[in-house]
Amino acid sequence: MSAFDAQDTARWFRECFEAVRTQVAQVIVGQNDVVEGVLVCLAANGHVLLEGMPGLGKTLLVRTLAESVGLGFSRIQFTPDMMPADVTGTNVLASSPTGDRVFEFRRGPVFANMILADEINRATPKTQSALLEAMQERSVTVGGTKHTLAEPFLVMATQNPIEQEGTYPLPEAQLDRFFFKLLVPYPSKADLFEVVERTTGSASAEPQVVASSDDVLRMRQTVRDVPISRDVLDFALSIVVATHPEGEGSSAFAKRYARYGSSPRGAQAIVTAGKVYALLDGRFNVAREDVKKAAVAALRHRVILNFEAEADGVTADQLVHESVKAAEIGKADPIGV
Amino acid sequence: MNPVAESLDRFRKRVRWLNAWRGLAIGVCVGAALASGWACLDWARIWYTNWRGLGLLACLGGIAGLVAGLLRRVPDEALARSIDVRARLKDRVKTAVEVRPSTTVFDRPQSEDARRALESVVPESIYPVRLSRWHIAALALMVLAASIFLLGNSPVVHGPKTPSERAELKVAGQKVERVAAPVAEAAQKAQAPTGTKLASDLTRFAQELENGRLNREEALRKANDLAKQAEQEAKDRADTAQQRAQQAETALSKYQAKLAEDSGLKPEDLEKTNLTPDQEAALDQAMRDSGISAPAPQLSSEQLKNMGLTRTAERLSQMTPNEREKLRQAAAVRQAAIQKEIDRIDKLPPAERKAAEQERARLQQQLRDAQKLGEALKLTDEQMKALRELMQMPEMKQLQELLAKMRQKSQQMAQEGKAPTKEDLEELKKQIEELTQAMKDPKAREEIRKALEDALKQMQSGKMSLDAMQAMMTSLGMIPSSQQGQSGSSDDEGAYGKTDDDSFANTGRVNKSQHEMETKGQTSPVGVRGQWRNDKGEEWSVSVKAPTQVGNRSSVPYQKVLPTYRKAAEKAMSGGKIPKDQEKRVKEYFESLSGGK
Repeated sequence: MSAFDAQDTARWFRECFEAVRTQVAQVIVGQNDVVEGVLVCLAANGHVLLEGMPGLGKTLLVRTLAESVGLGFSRIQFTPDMMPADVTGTNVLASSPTGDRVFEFRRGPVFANMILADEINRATPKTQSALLEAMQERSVTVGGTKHTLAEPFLVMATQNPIEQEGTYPLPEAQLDRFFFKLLVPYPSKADLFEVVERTTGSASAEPQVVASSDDVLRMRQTVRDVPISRDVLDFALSIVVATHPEGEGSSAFAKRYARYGSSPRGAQAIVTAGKVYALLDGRFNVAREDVKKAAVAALRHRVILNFEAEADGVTADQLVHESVKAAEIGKADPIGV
Repeated sequence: MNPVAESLDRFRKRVRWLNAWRGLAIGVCVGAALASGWACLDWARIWYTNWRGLGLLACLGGIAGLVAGLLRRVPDEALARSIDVRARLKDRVKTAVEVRPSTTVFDRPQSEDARRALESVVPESIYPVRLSRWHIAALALMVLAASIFLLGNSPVVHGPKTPSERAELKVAGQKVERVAAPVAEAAQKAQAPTGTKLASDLTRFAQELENGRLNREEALRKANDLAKQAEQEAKDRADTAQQRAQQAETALSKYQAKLAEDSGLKPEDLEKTNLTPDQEAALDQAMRDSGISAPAPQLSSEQLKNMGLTRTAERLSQMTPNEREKLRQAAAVRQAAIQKEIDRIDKLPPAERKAAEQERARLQQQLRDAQKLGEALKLTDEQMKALRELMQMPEMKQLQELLAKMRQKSQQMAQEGKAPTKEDLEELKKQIEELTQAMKDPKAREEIRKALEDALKQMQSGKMSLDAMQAMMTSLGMIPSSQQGQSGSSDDEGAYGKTDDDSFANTGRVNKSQHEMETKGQTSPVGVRGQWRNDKGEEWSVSVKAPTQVGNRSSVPYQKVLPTYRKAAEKAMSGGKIPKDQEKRVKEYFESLSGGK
């Protein structure tokens, strides 16, 4: 690929990204950061966990996104009585054309390109773990048969921070499989005005399909080609290491408040997301700013705070911010003239 | 090569200059810190300095820092990172420098992007010239060094010296400093450690005077010590010069012996002319008997000795062959006569022979002397001619004279402290060159020349010490300026330091029959302006008022000795040895001792 082709590819990436965003924006009012985060996950081939109060448009966002890129979409509403087979699908007894009775695999909702796992924390761990294989391996195994999922495959799970009664918080291993955890805030008054106006009137906006599954796959490949310097990589890794409660490079804040730090997947998520941000910024390289931008969303669900943190009201976001600050120490201008 | 790396060159150049700018400040910091330390040492009178020294230290530090800054390597990666940070290029340059082309599809566009970004950046804008903390520290340290130096040299710190005294001592210090330099140079040439130390002490003394660190009393005392040191140094040089002259003489003797041998005069032949006084007398007798008049001596005994010759050899060589033949015949006749007389005694009866035994022994001795003389007269005419030529070689004579002159000058310097004049030394040098040039044997010539030149060098070094001493004493007013250049002459005996009839000028010591003794108690110097005893103009003399007991307490009541001293004082006044202005003071002194009687 020549330099001009590469530039065209980068431009196409931005245009494609912006086109999808524009379509989503026609339906979703505000929530720009959340929308961008979800699109970054789409481009970076990572799953996303959305956390926010009910009624903030999480489900709508995911559905609109699926429609914009013309991908298969399915929604799974997790409940405590839901079984794994309800997610993955199951073998049912059916008649063959010859009249024989045979087991036939009936696909579950996970067999779609985009999955909305609504209120994922309401399902039992057993059911949650059914999704685990699908998210990591991009396949499900039922009755000893492995069924590969279609690409692109993206799980967008939601959970709300209230109504914790009767919920099953996601285990750390499963949380780690989410690329980003995005917090969906309340809309501003202006955004709320817009939301109410749109949803209570007769007109309804229908998003257009502006990208295909091939486009998504091409976007993912494009992201992987963005170069990153050793310095920036070192910076990203320093952030991850700084979240660890012990070991070389851990920050004082983490030593005090972290029970567990981020896994290597956190570093992978930061770097990959950084590459997306770099392309969106019109650059061909990852900058520290990109890494910093990605750090909170990529690490907030990967660090586990200790009791002291809870007692002091320290949040995971604070810990990540402090880790970023710790990683920045000593990385200033090496030529002090 | 990475195209971005080329674009970094102008930034690298800028960074080098800024490194040099910072290195300059760091260097000046170090230099100024050292200068501050030096200024402290100066204040503590341990190691003196001046503005030039302090400035030089700071400058050297600055230059070293500047060069180190310029030569400091600026790695591409560090530079790229720095540009990214300063120009906010979002890691474009660093990535472009690191990433190898054609690794991924975005490498080339990324590199192009970085290059374009670099082109839009002006090095001066992201690397401006600034005053850093180092620069401020450098300035502060320089001010500190200057302050310490100024304070250390402030009159306030160094006691109540009058400005005029300071000015006077400063001028003296400058004069002393001027004489210290040639002393150091001469000492270095002569490879004399004591001379080097003297020069160093003189320099230090000069600095102390210039910096106003000494009052008059201390200055005079120190000058006195240095004068002794200089005198000793001059003596040592003179001794060494004499040793070298001796070496030259030995070498010359060897050379002459070789010349004689080359001319057919073997050492055993010359030995034949080595006669005892009786044999000399026999020769005189023989000459008288033959009617030969004694020739006038051409060479001194010393010269003859140095040439390995005898007076007899000189006399014989001055005779004609006929005269020598006459002498030989006369000697033979005399030998025959003595032998005849001995034979006669031998033929006497035993009793008579025994009585004549003493006479026989005397005759036998005369016979041996005559035989020895006969041996000396057997030297051939050719040998005599060679001997004559050897003695008449002009350069030998001149060399002998030169050696004698050098020895004399060295002796004068060692014993009387009298240095040869510059003209003397130049003449000696010229003579050494000319005379050694005339010698044919290169080995002997080199040996003699080297010894003589070394001796001359030692004399020059000694002269420097004496001159320095003279100049130092003159500049401090311890000897009158009218006597400058007369060091070592009989007139200036006792012009400085200890004398027979004078106290040490302001040294805290009092003379007593050449034996200095420490005064007991605090001395109080009093400067008295008067007239030099030889009426050569006005002069400062400094007397020391100290407690009267010097050494052990005297058991003789002073009334008993007072008349003697009073008489001596009156005699001195009548002889004009005491300045007129001071006569009244002397009178009052004695009157006070004798209660006005």
